[in-house]
Amino acid sequence: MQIYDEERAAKIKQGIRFILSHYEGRQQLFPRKMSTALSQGRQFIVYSEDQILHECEKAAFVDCRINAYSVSERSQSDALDIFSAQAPNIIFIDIDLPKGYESKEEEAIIKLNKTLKKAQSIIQKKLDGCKPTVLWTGNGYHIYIVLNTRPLELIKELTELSDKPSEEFLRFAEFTFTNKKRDSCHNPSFKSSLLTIPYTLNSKCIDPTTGNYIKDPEVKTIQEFDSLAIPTINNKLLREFRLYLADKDIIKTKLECTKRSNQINRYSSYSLVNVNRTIPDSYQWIEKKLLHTPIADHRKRTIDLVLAPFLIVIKHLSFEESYSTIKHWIVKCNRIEMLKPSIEYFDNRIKAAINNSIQNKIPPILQVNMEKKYPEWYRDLKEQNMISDY
Amino acid sequence: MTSNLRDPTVKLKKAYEDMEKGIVSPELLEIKTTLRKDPESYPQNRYQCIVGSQLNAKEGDPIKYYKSDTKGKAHPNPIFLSRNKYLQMLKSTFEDQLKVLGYDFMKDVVGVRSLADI
Repeated sequence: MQIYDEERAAKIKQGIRFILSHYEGRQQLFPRKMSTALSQGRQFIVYSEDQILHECEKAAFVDCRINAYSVSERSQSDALDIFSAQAPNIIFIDIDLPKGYESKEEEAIIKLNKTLKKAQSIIQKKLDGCKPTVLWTGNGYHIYIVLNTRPLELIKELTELSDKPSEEFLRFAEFTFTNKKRDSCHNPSFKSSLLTIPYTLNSKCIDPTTGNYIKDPEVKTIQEFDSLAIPTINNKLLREFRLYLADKDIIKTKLECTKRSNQINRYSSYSLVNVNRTIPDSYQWIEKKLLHTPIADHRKRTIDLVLAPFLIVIKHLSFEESYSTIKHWIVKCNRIEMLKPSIEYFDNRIKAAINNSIQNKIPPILQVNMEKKYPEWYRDLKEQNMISDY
Repeated sequence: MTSNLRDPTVKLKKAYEDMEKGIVSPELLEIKTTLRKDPESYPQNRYQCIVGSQLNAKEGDPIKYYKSDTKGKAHPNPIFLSRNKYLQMLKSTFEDQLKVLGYDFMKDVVGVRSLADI
């Protein structure tokens, strides 16, 4: 469907200018990324206002968006770099109609308007009377808040809690200002903050079967931001943000602890099962064959992954008993093929492997994993009739 | 006003923040130099070779470029200038001089601070 016309092009030029006015005086305007229906949502770099318009024309003005942050402003690395830090001066909030709203459209729109009003009231309260830009996208509302702020990487307490506090602030702001009612799929970051250009068209308003617009697809400006009263992030909001980061940090630490303790429990279950010192069938080959047969190759790996874990975790032998058993075995191995680089080296290796097993309680490698990860080692042991098919 | 005139960090802080926002006029950031030989006579990854070739310059020609993250770490188009590189340059130029005068570049110019200072 060809929607291009001179009048729309002129309106979209105004729309581009309007979006760029959010950045002026706060960010380098170009290079900047944008996306259109033609690029299938993929972002590409543009270098001028005219180029943005040209790209919009090429895409028949469908799904035209400009990134809220310029390309050169962001650090390429994950490490904290104050000189590349980007101030979170454009906050993008997405409030969409729920999926499958068509059956109860009127009700959904009333609910959506309520959410918008509530968000506007919170923004006004928390940002000293701030008046943000509000767009109707055909499928919900976009709110664009312009802030006068420096990068939050400059505040010591915030960098102690996050590697990227400025980027984290984008998420905090959307979470706080929408009273947790934002689009759940929307996870803002500098890279993904794409602002929709007013007067362009939303492909979500197209019926996929007929290709016709089922409702008005034009992106409309409901409210323009007040360029003369740009708010800053006040002290109270900064402190709230710090608490948000601290909470996230606690949750992260808790999750890590749970993960770690689950891992330990999983491994220590082997020890509990084997309190009576019975050897599981899967490890019988170690007791019956390996310990009595010297091998010419893969001896370091055999000590680390099989013998030390077997004697400590499965048989519950002491450090000394385990050491003497492995030492006895390795001396026999030395007779068929000299140990390299030296017997002393192997002495230390045995001690380290035993200590590791005592500490981590990880059982010996299973044959199935041995075959997958170390096929050569597995093949050699099999050739010596040490192990049979599991 | 008088104290501001005596405080060397006031202008530096303004310059730093303008650079951070990307609103410094590119003319103030351009670096001029003269090629001592033809661009192709310089090693391939040197800025004289890269910028000189892009500008079709020859031995003795003046060239203008900007510090950049692109190949050769320089580019004749200001769109490719690296804000980070200019900020680092500001730091390396003034950090020691400010230290002698009793100022801390990171705190007094860059603005590193704690919540209690806000």
